[in-house]
Amino acid sequence: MAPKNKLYELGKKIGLNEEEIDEITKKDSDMKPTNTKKRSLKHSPDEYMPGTTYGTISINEFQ
Amino acid sequence: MGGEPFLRKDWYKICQEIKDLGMKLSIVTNGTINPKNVLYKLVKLEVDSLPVGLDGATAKTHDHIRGVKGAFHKTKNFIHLSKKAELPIGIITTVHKLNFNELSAIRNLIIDLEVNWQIQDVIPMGRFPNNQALSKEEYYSLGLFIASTRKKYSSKNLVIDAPHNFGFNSQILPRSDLYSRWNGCWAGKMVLGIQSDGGIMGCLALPDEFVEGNIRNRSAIDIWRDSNSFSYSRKFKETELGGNCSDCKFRMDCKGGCTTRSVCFSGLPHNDPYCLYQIENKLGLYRI
Repeated sequence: MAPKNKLYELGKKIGLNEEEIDEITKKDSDMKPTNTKKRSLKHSPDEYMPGTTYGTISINEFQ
Repeated sequence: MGGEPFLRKDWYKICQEIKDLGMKLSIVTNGTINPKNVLYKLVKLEVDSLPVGLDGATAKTHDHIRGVKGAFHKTKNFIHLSKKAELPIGIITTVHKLNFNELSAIRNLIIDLEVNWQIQDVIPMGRFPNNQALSKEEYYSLGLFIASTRKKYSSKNLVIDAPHNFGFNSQILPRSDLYSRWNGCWAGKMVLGIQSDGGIMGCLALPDEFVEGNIRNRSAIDIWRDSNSFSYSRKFKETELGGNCSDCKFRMDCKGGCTTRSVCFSGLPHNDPYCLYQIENKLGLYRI
């Protein structure tokens, strides 16, 4: 099966249509972590992410 | 704090102590407790994070997974009242075969709540049966769902987060957590956990065989600074990589993926079979 069709098949299994798969897998799609406006790439108490179990402690805080 | 903290009569005292020590307070709950008994206390505590487990879009699924009739409605009520009380509520959904097909419906249920949604794959340990864990293809589908949902919804409506150990080195999908790349298990390097009985582990998700000591006998800082502690993580050697990872070009950076998932699925600490890069290679997937 061609890669594109296989991606469509995997998407379909979880309720995604072909357009949605194209949007995230096309060559010029952004590979950086997405949807990060409220978040940070490093731990900081000011950037704690409420409602999740992440952003809890860093090695610097512990030491 | 996890398990189900509200089952303890002294939960408030413990939380107060955590806050008095200047630590961030995160309480993970199933949300089935009577909100009237706890919400005003949580507001008073200024809890920093309040994630609630929601495993299905319907009472039928959620109650079946939780094993408690009526849990779904109680949890939903807890979520709404917590939101109303302006508590930092979030949703955690652990995905496996029983709720894999309900993720879109769960998303529809919580889309207007303006919460963070943490989506994580199940790792079979304790009473969880191996055959209900996601297949590798389902795991990849979950990666597609997370990426697509992030593209579609603004961070204002629904912030999606996946655990830092979700997938490694995909050549197609963006990272689904806060970090731009995966560079090996954090256990005993960047994180440390204390079990309810005082056992100290590099990561609380690990099985009990990874307990390094007990805080009742030895201080956490002593254990942390001991050069022999957390050797599975701190003293990683290439020769310890299992067959899933030994030939991988990312092996020295990735170090065999998530230790917990690797141990639970393969019996080895550096041999995680749930790797997006491996799955893409096996299925011949590449960017369209």
